[in-house]
Amino acid sequence: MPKSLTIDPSEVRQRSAIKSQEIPVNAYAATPERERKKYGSENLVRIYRDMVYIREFESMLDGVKKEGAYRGVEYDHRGPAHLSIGQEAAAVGQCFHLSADDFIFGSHRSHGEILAKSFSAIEKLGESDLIGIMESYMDGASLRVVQRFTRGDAKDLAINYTLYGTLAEIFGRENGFNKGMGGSMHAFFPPFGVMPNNAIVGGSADIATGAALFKRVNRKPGIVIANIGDASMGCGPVWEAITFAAMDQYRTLWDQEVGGNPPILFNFMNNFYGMGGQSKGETMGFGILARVGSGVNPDAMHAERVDGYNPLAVADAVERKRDILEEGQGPVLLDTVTYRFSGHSPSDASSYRDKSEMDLWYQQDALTNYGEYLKENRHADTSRLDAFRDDVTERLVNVFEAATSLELSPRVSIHVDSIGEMMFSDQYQDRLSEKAPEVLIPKSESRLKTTLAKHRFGLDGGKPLPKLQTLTYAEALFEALMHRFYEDPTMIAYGEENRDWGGAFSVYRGLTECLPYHRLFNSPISEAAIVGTAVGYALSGGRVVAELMYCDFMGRAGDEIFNQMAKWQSMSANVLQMPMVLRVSVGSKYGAQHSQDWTSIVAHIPGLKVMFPATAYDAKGMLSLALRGTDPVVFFESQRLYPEPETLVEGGVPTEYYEVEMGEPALRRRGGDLTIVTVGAVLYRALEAADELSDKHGISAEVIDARFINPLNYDKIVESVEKTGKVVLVSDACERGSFLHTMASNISQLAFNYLDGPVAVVGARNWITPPAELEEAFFPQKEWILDAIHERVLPLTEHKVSTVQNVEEIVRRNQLGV
Amino acid sequence: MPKLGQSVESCIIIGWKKQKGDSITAGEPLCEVETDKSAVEVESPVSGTLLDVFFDEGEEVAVQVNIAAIGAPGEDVTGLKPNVAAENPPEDKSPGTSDEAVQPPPAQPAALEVPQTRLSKQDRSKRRISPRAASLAEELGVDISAIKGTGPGGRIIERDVRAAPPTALKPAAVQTRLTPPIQTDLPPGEAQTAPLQGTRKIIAERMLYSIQTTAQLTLNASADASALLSFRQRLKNSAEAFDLQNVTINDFILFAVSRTLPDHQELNAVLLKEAISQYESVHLGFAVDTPRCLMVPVIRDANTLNLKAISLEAKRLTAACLEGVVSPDELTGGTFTVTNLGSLGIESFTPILNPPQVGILGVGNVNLKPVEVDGEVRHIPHIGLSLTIDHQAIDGAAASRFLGTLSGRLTAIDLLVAM
Repeated sequence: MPKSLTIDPSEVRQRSAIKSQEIPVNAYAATPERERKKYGSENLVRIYRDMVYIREFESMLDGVKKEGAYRGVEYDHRGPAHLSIGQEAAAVGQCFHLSADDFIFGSHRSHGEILAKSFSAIEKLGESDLIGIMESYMDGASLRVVQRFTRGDAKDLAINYTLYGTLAEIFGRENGFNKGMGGSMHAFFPPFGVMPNNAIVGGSADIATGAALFKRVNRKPGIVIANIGDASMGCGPVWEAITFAAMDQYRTLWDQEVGGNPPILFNFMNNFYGMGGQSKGETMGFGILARVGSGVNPDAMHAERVDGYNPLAVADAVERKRDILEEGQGPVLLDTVTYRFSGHSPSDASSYRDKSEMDLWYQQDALTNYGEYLKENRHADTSRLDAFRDDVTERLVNVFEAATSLELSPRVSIHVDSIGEMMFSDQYQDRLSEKAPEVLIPKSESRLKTTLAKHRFGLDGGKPLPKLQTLTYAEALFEALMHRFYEDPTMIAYGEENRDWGGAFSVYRGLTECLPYHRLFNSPISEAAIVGTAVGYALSGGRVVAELMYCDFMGRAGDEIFNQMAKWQSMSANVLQMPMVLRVSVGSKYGAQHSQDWTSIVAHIPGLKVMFPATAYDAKGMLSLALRGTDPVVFFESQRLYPEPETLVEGGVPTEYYEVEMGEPALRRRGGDLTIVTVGAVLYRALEAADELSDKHGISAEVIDARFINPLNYDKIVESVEKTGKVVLVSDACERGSFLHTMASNISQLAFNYLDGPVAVVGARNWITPPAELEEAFFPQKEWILDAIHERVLPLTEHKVSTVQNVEEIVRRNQLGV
Repeated sequence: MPKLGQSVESCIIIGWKKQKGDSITAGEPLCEVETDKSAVEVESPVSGTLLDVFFDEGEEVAVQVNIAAIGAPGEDVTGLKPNVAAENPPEDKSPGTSDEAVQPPPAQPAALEVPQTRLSKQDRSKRRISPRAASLAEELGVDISAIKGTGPGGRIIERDVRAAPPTALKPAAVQTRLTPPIQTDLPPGEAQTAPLQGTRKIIAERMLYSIQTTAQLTLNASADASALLSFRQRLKNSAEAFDLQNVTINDFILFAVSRTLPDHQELNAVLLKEAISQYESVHLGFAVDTPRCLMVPVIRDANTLNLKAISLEAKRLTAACLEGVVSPDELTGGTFTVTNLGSLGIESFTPILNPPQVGILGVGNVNLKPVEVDGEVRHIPHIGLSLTIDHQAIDGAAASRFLGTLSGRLTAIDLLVAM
C-alpha cells in the first residue's frame, strides 16, 4: 500500500528460483578447553547447580501429585503440575546469557524456565537491586516468610525467594508471585524478566512478539524469547506471530533509528510431543522443526536446531542470536531439542511412547552427562556436585513447609471480593512514559484544522446541516485518538489498512501525516496476532489501539480476546496492566460474516470493558475515556453511524477534550409511560418508535442508550422502570444469548414489584444476516419495537401489528432453534 | 368449603364444632369459617359420622374444596382428601356415575361440596396480574377479582387498576399498627384472656385503620321528634293488614337519610388514596349489634325504596346477622352508614367512620329539650344526631348543611313520607 514501494511487473514476472538458506542442525562444536576459557569453572558449575535445583523442584511436585507428600510432609495439591523433568539443560542454557532486561514468555510447562531465568538474573543483579525488588514486590510479603528460614546473603535469600514465590503460586497462595491467581501454568515474575507463562498452546508467541514490539518502539533494552512447544507449530496464531515479527516494513519503511525488526526469538522447546501427539513423524510434516524458518523470510529466521541436552550449546545459540536480534535482523527461530521424562501431566500414563524410547533418553540424561563433563574436566568433584542436591533439598524442605502452611501462606480471602478487585486496574493515566511523543507535524497543522472548524451539532433549528460540513461520528473518534497520540508517547495503533488508507472507514485519515511508522502501521491480515501482540505490548507497559475492522473478525482472534486480553491483569494479580483498546465495528449490508453485533459475546467474558457509543458526542467522549484507562476495552463502533453527526446531545461535540462517565447510560428522551433501553445504533429506531408512540397513542416513552455493556450502572435504568413499569430492550445483536437478556434478568430482579409486564427483549433474528436488501427482516425495526410493546407489554389501541412479536412466537422460534 | 359470596375465593377455618368420630345430623353446625368480611357457620349437609377432617383450625382453604367427610363408620374416605382426589381423578365416586360396578353403596360418604377440579386455564388467566398492578391494587384497596385485565392475554396491568370501578373498592387492610403498645404486661389479678382473632380481629384492625387514616370530625345536633313519634305511634296502631306496625324509629331515620343523601352527594361518597367518588345511589349501611360482634349490612339502593320496603329490608338483614347467615356480599359496598345507640340510652356519641366511606350518622335517644316558642319555653322531644365525617373529603360547613337538611326532614317526616 505505501506509495514509496513500487510493485514492478517486470521484476515480479522475472524468471528465477528461490534458494533456501542452509539451516544448521546441532552445529555446536566447541571444545572443553574453549568452554573453560569462555565461562570459567564457577559459571560452568553454576549451570549444573541450576539444573539440579530445577530437577529437584519438579521431582518434589511429582511426588506431591503422585504420593501426596514431600519428605514426609503431606499435602494435597489440587491444581495442575506440568513438569519439565528432563528439560533442565534447555532452560538453564537459554538463560545463561540473559539479564533481567530480557524477557522470557513460556508455556504450561515452564517451572524450569521460571527458576533458570530468575537464578540467572539473581547472579547478575547487585545485592541492593535484589533486596529492593524483594522488599517492594507485593510489599515484601513473600520476603518476610523467606527470611524466617533463610540464613545467608542476598543471593541466597533471592534463590529461596524464587523457590517460595513460585511454589506458593503453584499452590494458589496469596504470597505467590501472582497471589495464586496464575498458578502452575501461568506463574511469572516480571522483576527478573520472567513474563507470563501461558496455558494455551502457543499462546505466548504473539504476546512475546508484542513485548518485543514494545521494546523496539520504546527503545527498551533486551530481547524477548517465546518459549513454546514443538506442537504449537500447528497453531495458527503462532504462524501469525511469526509473520507479524518478520514483516519487511520494520527495515524498509520504519525509521532506521527505531532499530529494525522486534527482537523476538521463537524458541520451540522441542520435546517431540504435544501432549500425546508426536510432532515428528505423526502430527506435523516438517521433519525437523527448524525447517519452518525457510518458509518465512529470506533469512530463514536465522533458524537452527540446537541440542537442548547440552546447556552450553543452547547458551551459545542464544548468545549468537541475541546479536542478530539486537541488530534488528530478527525474528529468530530456535528448534531446541529436549525430552521430558515426566508425563504431560501426572495423569499421563505415557501410553503413546515406548519405555525403550524413554530409556534411550535416560541414558543421555543431560543432568548426568553434564555432571560427568564437569568431573572429567575437573571443574568440580563428585562431592561438590552432590552437595548441590543436599543444598536444594534443604531449601525445598523449608520452602515446602512454608508454602503449604495456611498460616504463613494464606489464600486470598474469598469472603471479601478480593478476586473481583483484581479484575480491573481501574487506573487513569495521561501518559505511560514521560518522553516527548514522536510526531511528524504539530497538532495544529493536522486534519484537526478541518474537523475542529466543522459544525459540532448536526441540526440547525431542527433542520439537518450538510453532512460534509458537520463533524461526524468517525471524525469524533479521530479527535479522541489525536488527543492521546499527542499526549502518550507509548501509544501506537495498528491493524489492517490503518496507515495511508486511514482504516477501512477512514477514522485514521490524517493520522498517517502525523505519526511515524512505528506509531501507526499496517499489520498482516492476522487478527490473532493483531490482538495478541497488542496484549504483549500493553502488558509490557505501552498503550495500544488494535483494530479489527469488523467485529465479525473477532472469531479469528478468539483466544487472544477471551483468554489473553481479558485475563492477564487478574491472572497477574494486577502486577500487569492492560492499557489496550480493541476497536471493532458492527457492519451491515455485507451479509452473514460482516454484519453481526457481537457485543454479547465479549460481555460474557470476565475482564473486559465493553463500550458501544451511538452518537458522535459519545464516540469522542467514550474513546477518550478508554484511551486514558489502564484496562482492556473492546470498543464497538457502528458503520451505520460513522457518517452521522451529533443530533441528540445539545451543543454537539465539544472541540476540547472530555470524557463520558464510565458505565453510565445516557438518557436520550424523557418520558413517563414506558422505557426503551438500547445498545448501539438501534437507538435511532427506538426514537422513531417513541415518536410514533407519542403521536399515535399518546404514550410518552423514555429512551435510554445503555452505551456501556460492562461495566454498567443500572441506577438510571431501574429508576426509569420504577417510574414507567414497562420496559423494552433493543439491540442489533441476535436475540438468543443476547446481553439484553442479562439486562432483562437484572431489571426483573431490581425492579420486580414495579413491573407492569415482562421485560421485553427485541434483538435481531437468530439467523445469518441476509443480503442487504433483506436486512429489514433481520435487524430490529421500529415496527418490531411497537409490535413487541403491543403484544407483550401494553396493548396499543387501534394498533395493527405488522410483525410477529407475541409470546407464542418466542416458543415457536425456540422449538425450531431459530 | 361452600362459596360464601361472589368474590370469596377462600376461607379460614376458625374452629371445628365436631370432632372426628362424632355423629352429626344434617343442618348441625360442622365448623366455623371466616372470610375477610365475616365469620359463618358451615352446617352439615347430611347426617352421619364425621369420619375425617382435612384441614386444621387456622388453615386457609379454597372454596369448593372438600374439608371433611361424613359417612358410616369404617368407610374409606381417603379418596375425598383434596390432594388425593387430584391425584386419582379416575376413581370418581360421586353419585350419578354410569358405571354400575362402582355404584356407591347407600352409606357412601358425602362430600360437602363438589370435588375440586384443577384450575382451568381460564381461571389461571383470571389471576394474571403484573407485580406493579398488584402493588397498586393493594395500595388503593382495589379488589382485583372485580376488574378485567386489558394487558396481553388479559393480564391486569397498572391502567386497569387505575380505571377500577368504585364497586371494586374494598376497605384496605391495615398493614401495620402505627401505635406502639403502651403496656406489654397484663395488670395484676386474674383475667380471662382470649386471643384477638376472627371477626373481632378484623374489627380491631378496621377500627384502628379508620382512626389512623381518616380525619374524623363529629358534629352534634338534634331534630324535633314530635312528628316522628306521633307518626310512628300511628303506624303502630294501624291495621295489621298494612303490615306497618313494626316500623321502628331507626327505619324512619334510614328512610330520611336515604332521601337526604342524594341532595348532599359529597357525603354519599368514598375516599380512596387519590380520588373521591360520589354516588347517586344510596347504599345504606346500618350497624347491627350481634352476640358475636358488630355487623354492618347494607341496604342496596335505599333511595329507591319506600319506608315500608326499607323497614322490611332492615329487618331481614338484621335477622340474617343475628342468625349468622348474612352473606358476605351483603356486608360490603355501602356508601354511608347509620348507627343507632338511642335504644341503649345514649344521647350523643362519636361514631367511627367505616372507610372508605366519608360519613356515618350516629342516632341518640329522644329527650325533651326546652325550646322557646312564641315567647314561652316548651319541652319538645328531640332526637340526637351525631354525624362523623372524614374532614379530608368534606368540610364542616357542608356536613352541617346536610345535618340541617336531615333535621328539617325528620321534623316534617310525615311530609317527607308523602313526597
